[in-house]
Amino acid sequence: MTSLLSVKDLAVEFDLDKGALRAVNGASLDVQQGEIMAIVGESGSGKTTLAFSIFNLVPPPGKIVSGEIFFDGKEVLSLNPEELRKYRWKEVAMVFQAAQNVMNPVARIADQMLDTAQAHGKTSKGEVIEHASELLKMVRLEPSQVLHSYPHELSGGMRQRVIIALGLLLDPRMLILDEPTTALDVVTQAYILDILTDIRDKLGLTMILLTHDMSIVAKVADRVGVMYAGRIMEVGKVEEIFYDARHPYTVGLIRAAPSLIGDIADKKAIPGSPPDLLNPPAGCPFHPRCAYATSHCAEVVPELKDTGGERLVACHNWQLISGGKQSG
Amino acid sequence: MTATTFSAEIRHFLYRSIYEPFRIVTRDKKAFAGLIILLIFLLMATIGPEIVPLDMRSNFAERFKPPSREHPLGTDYGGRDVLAMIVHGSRDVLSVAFLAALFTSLIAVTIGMIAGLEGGIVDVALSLAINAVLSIPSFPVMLILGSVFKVTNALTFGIVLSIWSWGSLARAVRSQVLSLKEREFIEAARTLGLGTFHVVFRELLPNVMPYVAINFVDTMRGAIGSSVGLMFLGLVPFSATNWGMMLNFAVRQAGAIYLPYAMSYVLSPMIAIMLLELGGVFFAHGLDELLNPRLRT
Amino acid sequence: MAEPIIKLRDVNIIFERGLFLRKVQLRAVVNTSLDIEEGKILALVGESGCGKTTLGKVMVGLLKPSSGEVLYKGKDIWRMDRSEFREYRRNAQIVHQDSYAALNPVRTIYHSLSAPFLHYHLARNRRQAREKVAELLQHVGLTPPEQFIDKYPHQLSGGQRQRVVLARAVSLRPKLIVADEPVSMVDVSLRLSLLDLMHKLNEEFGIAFLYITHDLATARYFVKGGRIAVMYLGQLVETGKLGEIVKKPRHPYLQALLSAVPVPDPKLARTKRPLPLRSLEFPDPTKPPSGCRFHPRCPYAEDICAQEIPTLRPLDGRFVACHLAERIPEWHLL
Repeated sequence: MTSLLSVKDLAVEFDLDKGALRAVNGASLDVQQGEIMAIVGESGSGKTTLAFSIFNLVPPPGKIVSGEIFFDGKEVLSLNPEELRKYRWKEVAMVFQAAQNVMNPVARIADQMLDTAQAHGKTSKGEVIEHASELLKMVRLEPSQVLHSYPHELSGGMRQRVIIALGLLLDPRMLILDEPTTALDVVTQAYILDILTDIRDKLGLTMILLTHDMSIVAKVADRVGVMYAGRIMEVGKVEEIFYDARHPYTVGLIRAAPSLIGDIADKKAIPGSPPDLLNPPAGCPFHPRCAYATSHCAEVVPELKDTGGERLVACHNWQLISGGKQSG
Repeated sequence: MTATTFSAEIRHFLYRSIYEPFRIVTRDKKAFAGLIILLIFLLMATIGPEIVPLDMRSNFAERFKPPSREHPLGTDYGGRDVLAMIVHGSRDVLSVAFLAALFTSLIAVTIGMIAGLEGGIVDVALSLAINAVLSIPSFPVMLILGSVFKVTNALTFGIVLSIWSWGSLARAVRSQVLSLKEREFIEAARTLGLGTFHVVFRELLPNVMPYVAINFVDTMRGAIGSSVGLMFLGLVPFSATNWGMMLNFAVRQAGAIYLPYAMSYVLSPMIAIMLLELGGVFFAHGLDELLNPRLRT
Repeated sequence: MAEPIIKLRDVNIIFERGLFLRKVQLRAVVNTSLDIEEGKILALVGESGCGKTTLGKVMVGLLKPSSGEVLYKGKDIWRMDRSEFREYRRNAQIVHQDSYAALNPVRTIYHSLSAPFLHYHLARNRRQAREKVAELLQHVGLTPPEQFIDKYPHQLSGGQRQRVVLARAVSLRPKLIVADEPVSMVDVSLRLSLLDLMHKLNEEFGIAFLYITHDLATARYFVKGGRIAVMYLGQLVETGKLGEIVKKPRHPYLQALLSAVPVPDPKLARTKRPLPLRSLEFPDPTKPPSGCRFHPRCPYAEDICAQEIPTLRPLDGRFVACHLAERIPEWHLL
């Protein structure tokens, strides 16, 4: 089965005065049609830069220095501007972090929908509004109420759903969402996560969800990619990741995620601190914080390997970790 | 308190308020060019007079001579070397400008901080004063002040120039203080009971100073313009080598503008002033870029 | 039971927005009473805009209530004389959410931490102050201290900065620290270590903590055997021991909240059924609903809910502010 999206050995560098910063450092990932792939990582993991690369919109001073990205067989990084215009928003759409705060404050929602559609060649106003209304209903908003409103008249949760609807306006095949529920209250968050699974079921939409919250991953993801210091460390189905994690960082993340249930004593933070991306550690970037690290880990960067059943792990000692118990 | 920690403190402070901004500014080509021009003038003002001798004795045989190898910028109405006068005059010009900027900054910081911190009626009164100073054009006021007060040296001249120039800086300081006042680290200082003195001098002032230091050059530029203008109009008979006075003599008294071969005499102070201002403007352009991302108050 | 060190009695905070004729009133905190017991931990939980941050500021004396009392050792802090107030001030400190804003960006760590020692003459000269600061840094796990003491805030990571902020709050050995979302801006893998540190400070120095957060999971982790108070739109809706309240909440809002919080376990996360609320949207705080402020969204609301404001009353080992608490169906977190 060929993946809808295939990222191969991507590297993105930011040229700062202090030096070159590798935000993404050899990341590979495959996303299948119709699934929700969660990319989980903390600040500095590189997940947002990875998302921008898929969208081919890395902001300067960043630039993609190596690697390839295939979407439906087409290599995205070598598209010419015309093809790129068709790719962005029509094949892949993106919901940026805190997008709800950067909507045009002086345009009504209906106009923002029309602007987007018309910028991509759809000129029939009636059709666009009809389609927009269907999408608004899908995100459980009332079109008659929302279309005539200005962004500030809507709550944060409503605005976020409008942004999602906007992303879907041109019927993309894949939607990338960067922390779509930050700054939203818990009840609205649960609601929006439900909407996302709904959209996946009803439209067969493929989604990439970026988050730092393992609980969100547990709730909506089909498959999970764990990212650290610009690399993908582990990939697998959501239950495999939670109940049979094979990378120490994944184990650490699950253990460091506080929960309403389960024994508090099982919970523990990951020792150490996030890596300095200007001077990353030699070998495996996680080794300074890893309980299983050996001298080999400090010298040789582990490759992302298939450890059976499409379970990808980048760790020299994964066999020591696999089979260990982890619960939520 | 050991000597090393104290000097380390001073070094830190200087680094952050002066060295670091300069380093950032010089990345901008325009600003760098401005900085070079300013440094040239600074050199001219400091060591120039030691290098270039000034002979103020009149030598009417040499008057209004055009540029030559002996007198690169020609001679004035008394046969004196224009270049030497420019070099010696630069010292006065720059010192007056420096003092004016110093007093302006002092007044602006004091008023801006009190207005921002106190709030209430004090703020209303001081803001009124700031707005008055901003709306009434400063040059006419300085004309009046210049003719009323006796300006005899750089110090008094500096004071006169600063009396009506602190408006915009005070306003900027005030807004900065207003926004800093609500910041969490000020709240923490309050809960720790550290007192107003501490908050003003140890928390707020170090935040405000970089902005003031950076604006210093711009304030100096304004002072140069005003000082030259006042002297040109003959209101402040300061010293003969001062460029404004040179212009005054050249244009008003010696009628040099009617003499084509004395062009260099008239133009030299003008061009010197222009170059100095240009240097300031270019440098300030770089400062502008520096200010905005840095002042995330 | 020991006498609480801080007591809030019927505190109301009213903010006024707008100018001149179009002034609107915002009752951010409504008739709230709360006790902080010496050396104990209390979590104040609610979502943004519920007034929990405002209440925290009242507790450290940064905000004066529009009405009601803030009692420290039995005396209203706003009626104290200068020396009494000074003593209170030393004993109530705050830790903010944004560690970068909580530290003066142009002062080194040494300066920010030594200020209280020098001000209160706990250190007589710079050498002593440096020693004390180094000791403080070690207490909060920033070792070796020399690595941090002369740095500026922007040179530290978020987690390290927050430890510095905590160190500053602890430096005068206060009786209470109000921690307002102390870990929300810290990386997830590090949050628990910061909470562990706060726990250690609580045990070692007997400092009471008011832990303000919207994240019930971290509240559960931090509070352990302590108490929790849940706020909605300026009012307390349920208070009591955290373990019991989370297992069996009696207030419908808390039930909805607990059912919406996701857990890091895929099987469990997908079997929980959310409590259907009548509306997702928070009411405009300047135009709050009559009676119980939660009634427009409550699936169980009856007439009385719109008419009378419910007060906190004892029920089943905790306090609930709901007219129908006995009658609504039980809800269990599994």
